[in-house]
Amino acid sequence: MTQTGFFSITSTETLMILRGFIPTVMVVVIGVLLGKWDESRHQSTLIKLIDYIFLPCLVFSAMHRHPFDLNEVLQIAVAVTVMICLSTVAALCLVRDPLGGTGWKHLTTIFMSSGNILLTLAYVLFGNEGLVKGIYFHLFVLLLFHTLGAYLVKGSSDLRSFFKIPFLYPMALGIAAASFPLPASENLLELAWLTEKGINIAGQGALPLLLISFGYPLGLIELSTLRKGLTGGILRIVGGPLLAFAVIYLYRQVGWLSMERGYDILAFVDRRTTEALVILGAAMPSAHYALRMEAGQGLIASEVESATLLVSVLGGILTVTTVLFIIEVYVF
Amino acid sequence: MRLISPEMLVVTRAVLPSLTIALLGVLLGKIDRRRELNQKTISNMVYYFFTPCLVFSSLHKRSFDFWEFTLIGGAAFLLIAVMTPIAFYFKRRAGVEQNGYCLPIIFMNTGNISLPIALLLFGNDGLAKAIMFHMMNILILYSYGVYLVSGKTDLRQFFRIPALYATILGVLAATTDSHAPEFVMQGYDIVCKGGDLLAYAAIPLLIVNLGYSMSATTRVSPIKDDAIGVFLRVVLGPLLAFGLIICYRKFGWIPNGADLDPLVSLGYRTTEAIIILNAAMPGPVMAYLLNVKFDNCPEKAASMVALGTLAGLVTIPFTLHFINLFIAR
Repeated sequence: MTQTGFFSITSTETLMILRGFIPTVMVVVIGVLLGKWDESRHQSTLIKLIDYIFLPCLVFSAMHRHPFDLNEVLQIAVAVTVMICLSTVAALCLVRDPLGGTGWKHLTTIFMSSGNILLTLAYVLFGNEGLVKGIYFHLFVLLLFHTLGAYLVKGSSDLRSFFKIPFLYPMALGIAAASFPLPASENLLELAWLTEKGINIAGQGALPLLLISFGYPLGLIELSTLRKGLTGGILRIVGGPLLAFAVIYLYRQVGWLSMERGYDILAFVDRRTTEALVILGAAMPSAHYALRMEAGQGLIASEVESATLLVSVLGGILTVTTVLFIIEVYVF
Repeated sequence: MRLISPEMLVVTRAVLPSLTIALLGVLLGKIDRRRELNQKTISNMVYYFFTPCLVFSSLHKRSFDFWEFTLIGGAAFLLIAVMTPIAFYFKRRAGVEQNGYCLPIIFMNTGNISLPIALLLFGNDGLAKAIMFHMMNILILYSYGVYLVSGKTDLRQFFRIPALYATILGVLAATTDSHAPEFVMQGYDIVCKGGDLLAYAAIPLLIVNLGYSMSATTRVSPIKDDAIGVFLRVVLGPLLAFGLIICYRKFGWIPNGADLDPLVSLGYRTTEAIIILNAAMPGPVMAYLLNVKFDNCPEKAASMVALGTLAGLVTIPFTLHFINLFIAR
């Protein structure tokens, strides 16, 4: 922001945001191109690599360097739950059901892509602290997806699938390592440090792969169906952050995320990062796994849902940038 | 008592992180019993996107020194040139007729294994030098190497390597003194950041892919000739490189004296270390693939590449230890 109150494209804040966001979009576009070129459709290879190696490494390397804070976890958990529950009601009321009310096909409106783009952006913009909060956000979105989301689609929750998510275990391990440092000899610590370095390198590899994996299937969606997804898509990328702002406002009002600077400036910045992360997470476009769950149930993702995904992605370029500017002004 | 001496720690620092990632690849291979992971997809992504980004992101950040490039490229050329008659001599002794036998002895795996170690041990400077060596190695592989197995060169393949263009772009970016307007430079900076982001995936994917491939190698049953080939590659290779470095020093091409500026000296020592490290690499998977393509002794090449990679687990740390003892001091 310039002192006159207008955005300046060359201001330091603007440049910082653009330097974080544009490269992210660029890598997603490369994912789209890759998806278009790969005629044999090997996205499952990419997903497997991310799920079993790269994301667990990223999660462990982030979590074990961050002291566990239950309050922080609860703040994010409650925010995610409130936002998703309200999104569900809004989707039910506002988005026209393509099956005339016989099926629940609003998951792309309700669930945001909390893994692919959020984690990368959180890391690029807010460093390891942001990444850890992003991981918590992703965890609770996935928990709700496998409970509420599964219930909406199948009529029953699917907690078993939730506990099969590979990154949960390195996450628990990372929290345990951060909370209970084991006494070990200097040699063992050196070896552990070197092993962790390898995990760290693999974890960093997750960042572009997550983005590419997000872009991969986008090129397959017909642009001609775009209009059908307008309501759902706009609800996702505009309604989502509005809800998040409301939640953050309430948090501030009740003093859960205090605005008092206090003596510890780092604690103040940490609270602001939590706010930023919740808002940013809520502004994310629709999640791919929403389509995949329905496909797993023998339901072919409807044109409306695919279009919702595409609208949220294309519109998200604008809304996420705007949200980042607002975060810069309102939160920091 | 310290189990790891400071010298050994330097070596372990380079090898253990790579080994950890490779082990993750092996584990994935073991979990994925039906081999559903499409390795071609991974290779394509690495080949077309991640490695070129890594190459560019490494080269454009540092100044380009033509003399340094000549020294490193020349070393790659000389090592290959010296190893060629030796490989042919042992081919005749083994009674093998096909030239494909020589490929995994003459050429080095300068991509998968060497680049991560160069980055971990010597930082971006080491990575850039390792890339120069790598480019010369594959230039000769696609010209002379293809000629050996097919009777004709295939330089078209070399000119199809995306990393080549990333190298040219990186060198151009490093050498061109741009006076573009500020917003253009900021745009260029943002694009470079995108490249850096993609480059993060190159090294872990290279190693995971290698680990995944190794998980499928159920057993290696080397015969004497293959073991000799591997020995030549991973033991004689670095010895030749040490000899070459001594020659470089004798000719004064790589100065070595106490009066040198510490930073300049560090740069020269890194160059030496990179040459020796690359010379110690096992045979490249590409040599095997070329042998398969031209049906020129592929079984022996496969055996030598697999055995060489396993032997590298022992010989590479040793080579690094010697680099640490004789070069880094």
